[in-house]
Amino acid sequence: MATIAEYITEEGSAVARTVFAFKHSDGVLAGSVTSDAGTGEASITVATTDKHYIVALDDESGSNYNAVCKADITPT
Amino acid sequence: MALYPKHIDAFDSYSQTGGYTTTSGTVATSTTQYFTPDNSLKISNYSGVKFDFDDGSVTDPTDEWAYEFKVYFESSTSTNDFFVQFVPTGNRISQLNFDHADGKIRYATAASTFYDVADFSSGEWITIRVEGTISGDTQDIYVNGTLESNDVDLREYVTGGLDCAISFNTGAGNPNVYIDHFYLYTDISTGTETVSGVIQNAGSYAAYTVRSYRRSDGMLVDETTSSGVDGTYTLSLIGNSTEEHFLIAIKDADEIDVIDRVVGD
Repeated sequence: MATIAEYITEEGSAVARTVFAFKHSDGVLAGSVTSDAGTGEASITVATTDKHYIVALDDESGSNYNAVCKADITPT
Repeated sequence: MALYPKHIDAFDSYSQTGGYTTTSGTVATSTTQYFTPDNSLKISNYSGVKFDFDDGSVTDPTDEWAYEFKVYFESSTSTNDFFVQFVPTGNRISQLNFDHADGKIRYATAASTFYDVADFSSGEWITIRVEGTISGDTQDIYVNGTLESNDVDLREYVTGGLDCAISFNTGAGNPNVYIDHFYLYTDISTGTETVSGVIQNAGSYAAYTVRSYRRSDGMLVDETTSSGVDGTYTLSLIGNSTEEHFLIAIKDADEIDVIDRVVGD
């Protein structure tokens, strides 16, 4: 098992958002978590150390933002 | 040829779309174990469950098919196998057995003829994906994203097998088994929602890998490559025109674009 640890912010502030991790090679869902509202940390446990990408989704309240994606992540 | 989702089910309280039929014993959604985000389907000792296509039809794939699921075993104390059977055409079966006695996943080509695929353990989620063709009567078997058995034979038809359906069965004395994120695909597109678009990079059309995901639970729905000539792509989506998705386009290893809140045409 390996871990992806990223931080989710909105306008510079930590937020609680749904974050999905996907394996780059086949796109299959590897794990998901809600980021910590206080720190923004999104720690996701995945099965392999293969390359992954994550997608963080905006919530339903406040201003509307597009989802954001970070690629080329190697879990450790 | 593209594959289209025919039954997708995360067994979650808010995104249940498929449904299932209990064929024997006790089968129910459970919160005891789950992948993400909340529920799974628990198959108790000596029980069985089957899935048909969402629309209830029994339509053979033209050629290509695939199924995928995640499975979790509470323990490995049983001497009987947990097994999965998919019948794409009525004359061949994709059958995988999980042998608790020695911790091996095997595929079957006849009633008592098995070949090793990979090892498995209890107490962790295992992702299985099987892709096959009718024209070749063969299949590729992936375990946790790794191709373990390439272009191997299907099993001869079993009398009384389920036509165009998939079944999961525990044997007597089996531990509880949980399955989650179940997908069944064929190359029949009828009744599937789609979304289309054009990919450009710096004003030029581009051939990128494009994927669609259901927004509620992050399940991969479809994948294609946009045209290098005109940038066009078409992706399948799930359910009705109110089910939200997000799309990603992979430019290269470290650059991926995303579009959120997409619904079907």
